[in-house]
Amino acid sequence: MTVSQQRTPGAGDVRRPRRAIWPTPAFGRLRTRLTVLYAGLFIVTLTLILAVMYVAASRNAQRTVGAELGATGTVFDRNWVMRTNSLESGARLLAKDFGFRGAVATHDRATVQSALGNLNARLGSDAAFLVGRDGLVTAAGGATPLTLDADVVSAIMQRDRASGVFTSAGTPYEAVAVPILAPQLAGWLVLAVRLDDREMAALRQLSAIPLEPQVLTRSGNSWRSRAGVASSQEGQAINRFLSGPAGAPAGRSQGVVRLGKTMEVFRSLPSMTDENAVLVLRYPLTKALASFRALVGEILALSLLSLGIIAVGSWALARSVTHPLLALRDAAQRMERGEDPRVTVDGADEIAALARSFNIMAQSIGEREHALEQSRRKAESSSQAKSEFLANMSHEIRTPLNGILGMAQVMARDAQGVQRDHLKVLQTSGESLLGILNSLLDLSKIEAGQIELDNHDFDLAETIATACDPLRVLAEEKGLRFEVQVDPAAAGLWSGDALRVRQVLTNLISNAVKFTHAGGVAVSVEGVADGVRFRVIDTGIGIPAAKLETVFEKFSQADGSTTRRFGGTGLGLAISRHLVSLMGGLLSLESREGEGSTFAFELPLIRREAPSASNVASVTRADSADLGRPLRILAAEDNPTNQLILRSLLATLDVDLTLVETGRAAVEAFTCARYDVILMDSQMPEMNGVEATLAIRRIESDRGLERTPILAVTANVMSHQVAEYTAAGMDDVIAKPIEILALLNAIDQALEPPAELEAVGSAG
Amino acid sequence: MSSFRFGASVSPLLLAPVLAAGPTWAHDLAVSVTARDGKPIADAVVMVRPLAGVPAAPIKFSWTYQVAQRDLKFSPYVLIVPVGAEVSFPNFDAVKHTVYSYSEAKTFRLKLYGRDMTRVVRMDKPGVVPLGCDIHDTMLSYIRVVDTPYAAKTLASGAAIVRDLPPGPATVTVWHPDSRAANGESVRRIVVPANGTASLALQMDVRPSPIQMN
Repeated sequence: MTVSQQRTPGAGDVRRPRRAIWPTPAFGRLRTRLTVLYAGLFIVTLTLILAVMYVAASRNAQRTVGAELGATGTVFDRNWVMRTNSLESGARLLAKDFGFRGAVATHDRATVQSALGNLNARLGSDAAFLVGRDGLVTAAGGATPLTLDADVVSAIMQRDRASGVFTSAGTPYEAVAVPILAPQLAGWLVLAVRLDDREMAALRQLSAIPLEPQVLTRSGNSWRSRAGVASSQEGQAINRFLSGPAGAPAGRSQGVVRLGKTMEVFRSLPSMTDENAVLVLRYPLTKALASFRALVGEILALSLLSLGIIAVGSWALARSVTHPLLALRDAAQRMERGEDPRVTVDGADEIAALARSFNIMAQSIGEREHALEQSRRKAESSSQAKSEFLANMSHEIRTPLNGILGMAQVMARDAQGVQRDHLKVLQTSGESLLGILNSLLDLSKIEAGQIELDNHDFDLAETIATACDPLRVLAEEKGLRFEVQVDPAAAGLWSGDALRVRQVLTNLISNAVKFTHAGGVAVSVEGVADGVRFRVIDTGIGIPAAKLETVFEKFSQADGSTTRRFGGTGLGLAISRHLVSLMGGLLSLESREGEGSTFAFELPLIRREAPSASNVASVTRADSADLGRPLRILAAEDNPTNQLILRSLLATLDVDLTLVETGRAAVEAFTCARYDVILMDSQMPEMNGVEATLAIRRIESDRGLERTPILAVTANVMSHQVAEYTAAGMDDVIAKPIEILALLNAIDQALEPPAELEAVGSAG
Repeated sequence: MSSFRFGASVSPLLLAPVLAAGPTWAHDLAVSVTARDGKPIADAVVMVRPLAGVPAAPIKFSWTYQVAQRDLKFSPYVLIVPVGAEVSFPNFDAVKHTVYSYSEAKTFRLKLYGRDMTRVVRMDKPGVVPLGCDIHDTMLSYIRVVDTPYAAKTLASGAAIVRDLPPGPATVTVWHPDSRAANGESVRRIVVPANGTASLALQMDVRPSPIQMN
């Protein structure tokens, strides 16, 4: 079972970019989509309307042309009949004329001929004939050199009153024949009109539409006009029209057909002889559909215009939807940034309602945030108060503890036998209490984010040994195996915060020893690619799977009963986890209940090359032999217990100790006498250590004195405090409770001729 | 139409017993004229001229030589008169009429005359004399001026009998005003038997009467 305290990078990536909740491009796409949607709808509607218009116009055009042609056909029919009638009535009038009848009856040929000529001119016909009862053409009038073929004469004689179309020499004529009664049938008066271009032009005038009339007559199997033989397609259409039943559909009975690009109307003409004749009205579709084409053109133009309007309109329409949405998005982003998110609302539509709801929501969120902020501040300030309280309490506790430990130290030096053992217990218990106190302080520092790494070169094997050795004793006392394996690759110099490494190892190993009753504890340290891996393996009681997560929480142990059985604050793992994270590592735990646990972490330490066998301080005593006189020490310490401890610790040495109770007193003492070292407490009445140091340094520079080492002796060893001391001109820091070794070491260093200014407090 | 008109004035029923008894009479010629479709043709004039010649005595027919003007029509449609006959044209209508003919046989023109007035014209040459009225196109009739006593016209039944013919060969001319034949005449040779009745059936191609053309 592995628990990792850091989130996996993937999960972190997903949740990290909070701005991605409203990605900008989504609105662009919405606008595009809306635009396309609107435009699509409009275009479909437009297309439907235009298609319907087109179909309607097309049908209308066809119907109109058909109706026009049908009507025109009827007009032509009637006109034809009227002309025939007018010819006939003119002919009949002459045929009934007394004089003409007399001339015919008396065979007065000259008179008849002149009368025929007169009639011809009067009626505008092209030829007039008198056909005798014997079939001979006895007289002719008019300029046209028309001769009547035998079949025409025969038709006249057979039918008495024949009329219709016939052809002579390829030219179609229309003729009427009326009988001349004088009083008996004396012959026939025949009037003929040549159906030539002039006549067709006259016919053309009848129609409002540009028709091309042409008379076609059957000649054998084909149809021909004056212009030539008609196409077989046209001929077949004419044949179909002529053979069509009487009750044929309207289109055919009207004789309207479409041949290629021409609409044609066929009108059957009465024929003088056996041959058939038709009047064909040709109507080129290009002309017929001209108005329709114009309409289609207008529709197209309208469509293009509409498309433009649709494009712009759809875009504007889409924008009118997305614009307020974008405004809302901007407002949401403002809200995210903590700016005033309110949007201006006008109108009463859905989006306005949304904007209004948004404003209300933003307002309530703002109020809630405000309330949260207030309660957070309250919590923070109370937490701050607690932390301060804790810090103060720690200080307050530590000060007497310092006294106890210091005195125990002092006493242990002289004690013998049982008393020495008792003092040892006293010292151990005090140190344990100090450890707990330090843990609490660490935690409060961690929570306050005040902890800082102090990287420097250190020997890893030595650090490990320092962490392990006290615990090895503990383990062996419990009858446990205790193994430490340091990979050669891991041994040697590294750059890092050795103190924190040791602290984590001490925590983990002491935990392991605490919870292991049989078997052993193994510490394994290996060099890896980018640092060092540490593992602490035990065969202890283990941790249930369900509790794996919670053991890292502060004040927590796997089981509430654990506290009762094993004691402890439950802070060790929480602090360790924080420290490992701070150093760039990851503390993980594998455990099986009843079998044991393995804590492991890797730290990205940096390898240092220099060999440093002699780094271990060999200072064991401050030797004043060089001076040839007792070491003059000025100590500013307001606490009587600490004064006593200092005095006791330094008593055995050849030291001339001047003790003052305030910073001011220290400054005054400094102005009166010379000292080799000044030990300065930080918190003192009247003038604190920092102020006193500043004053001393000022005096030194004012008087051009040699710099006197000033060592801070304080329980306040947080790095910012240390920085403050250094800035004020102190040379080193000695942490309380004062350990004799650390004190002497620091004094020793301060007195060394080439003063190492970079010295930093190294005692815990 | 012409036969119908005649049928109105002379009932075929009255003639039937006469015709039925005919064969017992000697030297008669019975002629029946039909159209191509078999319909009887009335008003065909049958004229027989024996090769031996006609009697020199003046010719006299039993009917009156009169063309009446009644109901805007000339009546009868066809009248047979001998050469030299004086034909009267009485007007029984309320309106006035003229009578004219441009025929070679007799060209004449009677100016307008009114009701109950009559005019007389002498037909001095044999031939066809079509009669018209200048102001009424429907008035058309024909006078056939003959120079033989052996003449008769067909009744509505298309039958005519020429009586008391001298036996021997003879030329029969059948004329009808609407015949399509040249001059409207069809000519046949017959032999009149010494004892008995000759018969002649004739088909004739006729056009509609010009009256109808108006």
